[in-house]
Amino acid sequence: MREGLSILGRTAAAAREEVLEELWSAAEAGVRLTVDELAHTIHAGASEGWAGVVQELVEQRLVHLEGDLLSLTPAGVEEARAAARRHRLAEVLFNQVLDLPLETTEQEACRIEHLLSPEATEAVCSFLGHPPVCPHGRAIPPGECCQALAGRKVEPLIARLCDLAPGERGKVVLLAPRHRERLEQLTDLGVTPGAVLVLKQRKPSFVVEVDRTLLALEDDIAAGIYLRPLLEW
Amino acid sequence: MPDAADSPAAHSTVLSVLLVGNPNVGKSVIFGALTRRYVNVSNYPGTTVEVTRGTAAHLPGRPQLIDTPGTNSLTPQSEDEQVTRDLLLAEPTALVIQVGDTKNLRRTLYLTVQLAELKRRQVLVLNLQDEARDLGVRVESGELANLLRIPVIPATATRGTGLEAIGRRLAEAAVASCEVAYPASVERAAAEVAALLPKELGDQRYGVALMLLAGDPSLASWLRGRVSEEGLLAIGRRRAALEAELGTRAASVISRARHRCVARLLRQVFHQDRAVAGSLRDRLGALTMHPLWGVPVLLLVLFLAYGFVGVFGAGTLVGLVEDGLFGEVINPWVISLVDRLAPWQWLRQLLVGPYGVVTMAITYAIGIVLPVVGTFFIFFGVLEDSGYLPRLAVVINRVFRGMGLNGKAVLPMVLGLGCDTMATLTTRILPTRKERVVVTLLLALGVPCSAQLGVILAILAAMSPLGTFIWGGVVMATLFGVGWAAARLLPGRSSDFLLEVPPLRTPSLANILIKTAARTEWYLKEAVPLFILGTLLLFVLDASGALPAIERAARPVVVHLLGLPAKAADAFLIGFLRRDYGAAGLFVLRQDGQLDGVQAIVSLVVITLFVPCIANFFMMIKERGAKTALAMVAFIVPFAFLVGGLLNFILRALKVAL
Repeated sequence: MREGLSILGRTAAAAREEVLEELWSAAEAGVRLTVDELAHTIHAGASEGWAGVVQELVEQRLVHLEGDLLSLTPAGVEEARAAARRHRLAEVLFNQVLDLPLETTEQEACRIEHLLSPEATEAVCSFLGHPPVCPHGRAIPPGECCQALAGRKVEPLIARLCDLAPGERGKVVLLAPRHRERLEQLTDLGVTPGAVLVLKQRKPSFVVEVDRTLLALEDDIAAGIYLRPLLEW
Repeated sequence: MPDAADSPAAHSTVLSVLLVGNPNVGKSVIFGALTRRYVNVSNYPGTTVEVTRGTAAHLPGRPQLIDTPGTNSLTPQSEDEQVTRDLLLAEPTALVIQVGDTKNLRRTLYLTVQLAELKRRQVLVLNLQDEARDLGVRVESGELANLLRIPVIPATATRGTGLEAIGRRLAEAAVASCEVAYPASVERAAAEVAALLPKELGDQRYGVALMLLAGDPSLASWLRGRVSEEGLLAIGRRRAALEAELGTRAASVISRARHRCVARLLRQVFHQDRAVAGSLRDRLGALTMHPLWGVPVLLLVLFLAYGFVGVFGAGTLVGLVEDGLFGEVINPWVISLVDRLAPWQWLRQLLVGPYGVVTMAITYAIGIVLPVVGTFFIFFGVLEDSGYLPRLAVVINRVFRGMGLNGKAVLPMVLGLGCDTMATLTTRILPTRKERVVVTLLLALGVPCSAQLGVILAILAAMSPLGTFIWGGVVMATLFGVGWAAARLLPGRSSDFLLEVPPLRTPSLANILIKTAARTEWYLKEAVPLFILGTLLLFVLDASGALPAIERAARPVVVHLLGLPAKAADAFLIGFLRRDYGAAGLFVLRQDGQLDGVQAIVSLVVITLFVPCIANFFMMIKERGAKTALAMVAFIVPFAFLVGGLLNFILRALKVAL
């Protein structure tokens, strides 16, 4: 069985981040998990592998074992927090920017999160505009990049045209229409990376202004235009 | 509508000049001014879908001027854009007058860059200066002319300013100098493909090579006769190799490079002052597309149309002209004249009998239909020139979605209310074949043209409003139902909604009057002969005794299925020639009290859905092919009777009194 979620198919590092993340989520929810429950939430079934991973984490003093109940030590909290942050940022990237369905998002996020270096994580976070929650609605632990901006309202660095409110404007960063011919049509009309769009209305159809010309377009097309929002000038 | 038709191709010795530009920038206004020839001018992209030629008496050397459909790029996205590209290739030596919208210089120059790649000698007219000024846009045309090394002429064509400079400076036309910096891999590929192209293309080869690398499938047929089979294959391979090298579509890389070149020019000559916020025009324009207010605006437009065309045109004017002028003055006078002068009974019958040329054909055409189409043309002209139609498309895009169409199809459908024949031609603006077929079918099936609509409104206006609701409801439900089914049955893909919305403009009285006059003239030229032909047909059938036989043969359908008097068969018969003529036949039956309320509604629904008129049928054959056109008619005729029969049954069963 090549089910990507089996613990044995993963590297040791990935498995331990997985466990830390799970414990982080449980702590958020205010629960403490037992080893069996942990195995259950990770959909792995009881197996030798889990015991080994948990054992290792306990030895490294990241996880505290009290009877049958698991909890994170202060050092464990630090690491779990970073893992949860990477995972949830990856989810936002896949789901909200690249438009993958939630199920795929989950798997892809699991796969990519372990590869993200701290710098790359900061970059993704900034690119996404320091999102506060993941697509499932769980809080994304803020990183240094977010804290530096704390207290200030941060515009996301990139948004889809369909996520703007009427009156907002943005500079086109990339076009990713569903049909590739659409790309040429948009380009011919002047909707091209670098062009400034002003969203005029969303209903009954999207209307944008580009180069002093109004264009009406399908919601679908609006969902494929990514812009960097600009402040009023 | 009466757009001047394509005249026979002029001799190639005559110098040709092409008018080229983005949609809705005023090419046709300039064409009209330079040739003194009227072509349809309106405020929506896609007014011109055909090529119009005329002699430009005001240009030096009296060249042949060719008006082309607007296009945003020389890689066409729809049939009308392809017309322009093909014409550029077919007229390799013609000078180009490029017309551009000053406020949208980016799109203008994007086309200039492509014309330059094709080595076309051109001048650039920066039109719509007045609108640009209102929006705080400034373009340094002198500086632009220096950069491109071509004449750049600021103009406001609707007011006639700047146009005299076109003739003066046409001789200075030159290839615009704007070098696009393509990636080296693209340049290498373009040079290699250019070498495979025929020598006679000369220095256009590089530009054509870029079009081929961008993967333009519409070029294939043009290329086939000119390049050998191996050559075609080699071009395809080279393109694939380039895309593999680039790792993306060559088309995107090429257009991005062009846009970078344009952006560099814009930085030097284009200035945007802070926009004047919320002018009245903008606010009104937004209102017409507002999710809530858009609907009352639409209802208001419909109400005004009903008031002006239905009540004033079909009621007041028809009363004056038909009853008054024809009923009391012309017809009695002609009848007495004919009675005195025509020696034979059959001639008297032919001219002034129940199927007489004067008493039927001319009375119908001039007395009933002309006042209606006249008022309709005026109203429609105002609507076209105001820029409302594309806004209507924005409002009802979602409704059209259900029919596998999108808001863009609103344009041909609404134009169908003017004339289904011209509207069938306008389906060229739709990007996919499936959409063109569905719209052609719906136009032929259930969009009544102005003439027919007017007569129908005249009958409905004299009945209770319930009648109008039933008629309108049944026709719209049928259109939607058939559209829905066609969208699912027909193969192919529909396109996404993407439409330019032009600014609201105050219609010019002069243009409305000229346009109405041109359309009325066209109506008289096209309709009156057919009305006379139809009358002659009826006269002959009647005199030979065939008409009663046809009425008898049609009995099962007309009398039993539809519950109409046998005489109604006449109306359907002439409906084959023109639908408005058929409707006028019903109008007279109703006036004579031969149709009760339910019968009137049933017959109106049938005549609305009934076959397209002859002219439209020929246009369907021309645009969609004989097989498709015949299949559509074979579906429409029985279907119209079926819907009528069903409606008759339901109304009778429910005992609806009208």
